[in-house]
Amino acid sequence: MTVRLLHTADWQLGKPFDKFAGDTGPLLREARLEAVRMLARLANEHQVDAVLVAGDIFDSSSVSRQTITFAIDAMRGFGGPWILLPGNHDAHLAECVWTRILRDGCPPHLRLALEPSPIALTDDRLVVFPAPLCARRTHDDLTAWMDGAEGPVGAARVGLAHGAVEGRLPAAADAGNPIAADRAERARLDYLALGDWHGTLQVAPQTWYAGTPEPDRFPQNDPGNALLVAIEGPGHAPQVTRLRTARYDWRMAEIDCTGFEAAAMTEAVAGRLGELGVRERTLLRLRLRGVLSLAARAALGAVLKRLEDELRYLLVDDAELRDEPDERDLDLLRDGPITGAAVDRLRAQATAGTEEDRAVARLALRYLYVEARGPA
Amino acid sequence: MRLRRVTISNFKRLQGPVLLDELHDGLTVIAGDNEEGKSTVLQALKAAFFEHHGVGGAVREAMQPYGGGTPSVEIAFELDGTTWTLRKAFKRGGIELTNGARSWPPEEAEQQLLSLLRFERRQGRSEQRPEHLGVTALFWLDQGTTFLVARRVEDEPLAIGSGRFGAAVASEIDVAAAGEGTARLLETVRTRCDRYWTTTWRESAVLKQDRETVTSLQGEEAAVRGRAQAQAEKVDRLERLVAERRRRAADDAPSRAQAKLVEARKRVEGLDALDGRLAQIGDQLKAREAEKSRLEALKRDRARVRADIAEAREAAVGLTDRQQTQVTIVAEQQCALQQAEAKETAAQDGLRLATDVREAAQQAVVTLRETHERVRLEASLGTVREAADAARLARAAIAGNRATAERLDAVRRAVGQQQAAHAALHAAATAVELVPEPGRGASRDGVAITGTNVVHLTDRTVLELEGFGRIVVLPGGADMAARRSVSRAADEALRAALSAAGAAEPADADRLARARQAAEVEAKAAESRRDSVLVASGVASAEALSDRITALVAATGQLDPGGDPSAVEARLQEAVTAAERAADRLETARVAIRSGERVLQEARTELALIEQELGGRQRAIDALEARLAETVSGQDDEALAGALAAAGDTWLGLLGERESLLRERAQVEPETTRERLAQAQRSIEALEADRRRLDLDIVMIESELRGGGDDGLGELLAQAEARLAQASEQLGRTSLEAKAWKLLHDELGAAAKATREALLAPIVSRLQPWLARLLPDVEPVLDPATLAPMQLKRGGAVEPLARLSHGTREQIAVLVRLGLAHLLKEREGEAPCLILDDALVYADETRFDTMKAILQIAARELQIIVLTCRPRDYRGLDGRHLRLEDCITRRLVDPAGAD
Repeated sequence: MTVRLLHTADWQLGKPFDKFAGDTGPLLREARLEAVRMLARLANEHQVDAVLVAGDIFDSSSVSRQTITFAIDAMRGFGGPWILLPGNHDAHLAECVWTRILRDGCPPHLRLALEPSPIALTDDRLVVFPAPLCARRTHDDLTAWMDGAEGPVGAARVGLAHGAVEGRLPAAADAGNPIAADRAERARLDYLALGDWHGTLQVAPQTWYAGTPEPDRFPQNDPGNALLVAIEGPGHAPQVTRLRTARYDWRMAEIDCTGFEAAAMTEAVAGRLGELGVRERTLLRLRLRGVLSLAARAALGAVLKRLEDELRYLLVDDAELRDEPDERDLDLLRDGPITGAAVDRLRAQATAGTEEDRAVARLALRYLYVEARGPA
Repeated sequence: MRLRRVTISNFKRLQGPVLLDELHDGLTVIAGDNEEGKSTVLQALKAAFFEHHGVGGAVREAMQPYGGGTPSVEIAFELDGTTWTLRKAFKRGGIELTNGARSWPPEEAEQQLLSLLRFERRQGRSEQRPEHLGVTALFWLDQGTTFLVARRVEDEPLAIGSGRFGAAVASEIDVAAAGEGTARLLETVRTRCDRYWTTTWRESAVLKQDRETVTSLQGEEAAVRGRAQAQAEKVDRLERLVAERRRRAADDAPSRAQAKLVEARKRVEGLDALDGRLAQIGDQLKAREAEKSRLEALKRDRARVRADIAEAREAAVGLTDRQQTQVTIVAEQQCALQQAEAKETAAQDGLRLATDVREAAQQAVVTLRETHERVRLEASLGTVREAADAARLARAAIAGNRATAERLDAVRRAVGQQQAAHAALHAAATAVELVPEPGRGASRDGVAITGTNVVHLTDRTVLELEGFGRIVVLPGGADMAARRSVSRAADEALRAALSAAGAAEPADADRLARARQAAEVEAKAAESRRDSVLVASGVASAEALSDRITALVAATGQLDPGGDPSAVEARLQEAVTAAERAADRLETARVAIRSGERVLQEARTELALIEQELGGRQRAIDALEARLAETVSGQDDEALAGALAAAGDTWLGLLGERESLLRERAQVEPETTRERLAQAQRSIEALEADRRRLDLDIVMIESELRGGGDDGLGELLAQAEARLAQASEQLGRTSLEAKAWKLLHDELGAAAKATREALLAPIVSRLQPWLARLLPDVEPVLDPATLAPMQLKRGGAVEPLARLSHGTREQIAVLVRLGLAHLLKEREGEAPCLILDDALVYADETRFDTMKAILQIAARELQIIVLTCRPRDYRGLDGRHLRLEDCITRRLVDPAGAD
């Protein structure tokens, strides 16, 4: 009989998002809880045998009681079992979120995988080998014990771990908590459910990162999914289905503004951005580069202001966008002797000195243009 | 601008209406006395042009007419070729502005004025500043303020015109002046900077707030981080402690320590048995030593008693010898005492004899002295009696003589009175000169008159003249009778006085008085002698003296006082000396007796003591012998020696056994053995304590962590970090903006300054001719920011304007206005109206004349109105001359048609 699992990870409940102004931060926090409620609905919908959460359920080992309570409540939507694995954010320490849950009385539908020992489920048709992190970082492969671990005969063998599969992820993700890329093979696992990488990714045969169910950053690595895993029995390749769970669309865009005209700025930017989807759920990181006249830069400023007002969140990186007054700008600025002299000096400073000096001079030039021009 | 007509009503002291009409181009001199309202005219002009008609508060109160009513001003003026009429009453809706072509509603009219005269409206109760008056009012010079030198750019009135003046000359030097647009830009940039900077470029407002936010959040983040770190450290410690507990649980250290304890305890028990036996032997040794000591002490006691008996007997012998010696001494002393007593008796006899001799000698001396006294007293008695006799005789003479001093005085006074009475009578007497013929005589009362021929007659007198007959002369008058009476009374008084003194004549009285005085002297001398002898003899009277002599005679007889007193004294002295020597001998004998008695007593006492000690010794000997006999009777000396030897043997046996046991104990190393047991016990206790401590630490940390767990420090830290990051980014943006605005401000400021400096030369060239008319060879140095003259350059030397006199500064202010007004006339085709309110009061006569000439020249192209209280000073100027009092009309001007 086929074993069905819902594989998820990296909920990082309790992540503050306080860097986001206004009500965006609280909404993003709420969205992560809502993702757990959605997982419960999916688990019911797909009648899974268990939900495997591969670590980093909580953003830290010392989240607030409210965060723990809300998380447990959110999981009540599915009767379980929820197999919860400590990750590097919520490692099983002598005193941690897990000890607090145990002390308060762990609800029956939750199974805390705090020890590296087999967990037999569904009438011994499934055995889960967890590799909990007992420290925030380790250099040992905690999944090694799975190689010699035994489970009930005829049970599907599933590993549950949190860390970086060696050589299969960007270098930055390889910094600790290593997992052998051939662990599934060496431990005769039918499926190795992993967490830590926030995008959905298969890194080896039978080895998947589910990714976070609700994106929390801009990198474009396909976050916002859960994996429905169907295993017919030991030795069968698992069938993995990607289920979309994301509420918010964290999007990145890069625009070269060179040649944009002030008069057609709105259209030019819109054309580069393309369709943005539901704007109340869109967070956009916009990298701008190129060279603009002062008039065009002023127009771009207005467009960006409007965009900021329309989207849930807009982050503009214009470090590589440069202002360069054109003849029309200069005609305007040189209308008076004083502004003309000031423009010449500011232009000189905009190409000399430290990066900050140049940035200050460019901004001053832009201000001068806007003030000299008057209301658009 | 040219003013054509001004009407002022109800404005401060100008009740008015005051009409200044027909104001032409050129010069107009308006005269008025002090306090008549000249300055009010200027204030009314400023109020009409620059204050809102609905202005209230202190500004409105300052215009309040003294006699009530609404302040109102009507002005007809020309500007840019257009004739305007402004009627302003300071009340609601009280403005009317027309230019012939149209008129404006009240608020628009005020706006039109703003744009026409280019000034800023004063807001609220703010202080009036130059920008609230515009360039127009720059040329209206108030009384007594034109010499002031502004300390700040914003206080210099000329600054507000600098842009306009600069623009006027800009084209001449190919530099576009900073127009009003640039001024607005500069002001806008400055305003933008205010969001970030103070006027002295310290961080403020947004920038300061952002930085404070970052600082505050850094503090919060650090605090939360600290707490989170502390919690993490506790968790780490808990991890280590739990690991340690697991390690110890796997270790068998407690059982190893227990085995060691059992082994050590066994060894110590063996050692304890050995020590028990040793203690037992020790006790036996002590008992044996005590018995042995007791027997030895008994033996020593017997020997000591025997020695004491021998010693006591020897001492008794010595005492018996001393007793004999002492008996001898007592006998000798008794003999010596008897001899001394015999000496005393002899001495007493000698003393009595010597005393008798001395007393006899003393009696002889007394007798001799009394005899001498008697003889002396007898001599004194003679003297006393002699003196007493003399005194008695003298007293008898005194008693027979009545001529006392008082009576003598009475006689003398009576003589004087008689003489006076006689003289008075004589003076009144009738003098009769008798000149008898030779051979004839005359008689008076029968008595022949001889000698003198003049007789003085005081009483009836019968003169008989020989050859003539008798003449009875009756000296006349009652006065003569009185004189005669007085004379007779005086005669009678003299006779009485003489009788009292016992004298017949006054001379007798004198003699008798002298004799009485001599007798008194004699009596006193004799009595004095008598009394002094009596006093010397120590008696009060001659009788007492006689009695005393009688007594002496009775005592000593009529001895011859001729004996030698010194011989009698010498015998007395010898007798005294002999008596003293006898007394000395008696004392010596008595001393010897007392000494002998004391020695005898001491000898007897010593003898008694010796006999007492001898008795004591004997009793001690008896007691010692009894005690010795008693101890020996129980155990004789031989038996005692045997018991002593047996006790010594037993003691030596025990000592040997103890030595053997000690050697055995030393081989066991008792200290080490016991220390091992103690160590084993301590090890077990330490292990137990460690275990308990570890458990307690774990419980404590778990408890602490449980307590702090619900704080959600991880979340709090993430939140704090996020907020700090956001604030830091915001600060970075704000800081960049602030720097950009400041840079723009600095660059625009630098450019503006450069432009202003470039514009200075043409403006100076406009001012120069006017200044030169008053101050040749002087060049003004203008402040680039305000165009106000700050210094004067004269032959290379520079002199700050502030150091010049009030008068010179005032004149320069007027000349600068003239220069600037001509500049505007030249460049803009329109010059402002120049109004001077008593503006040259500090000028000396020469300067004043020069300034008048300059004003006359300037008035060819400018409208100049001079308000003065000294109209005669301006006589001779070609222009219109008005008196303010002549301008007061009865016609009420109310532009708004109200009231």
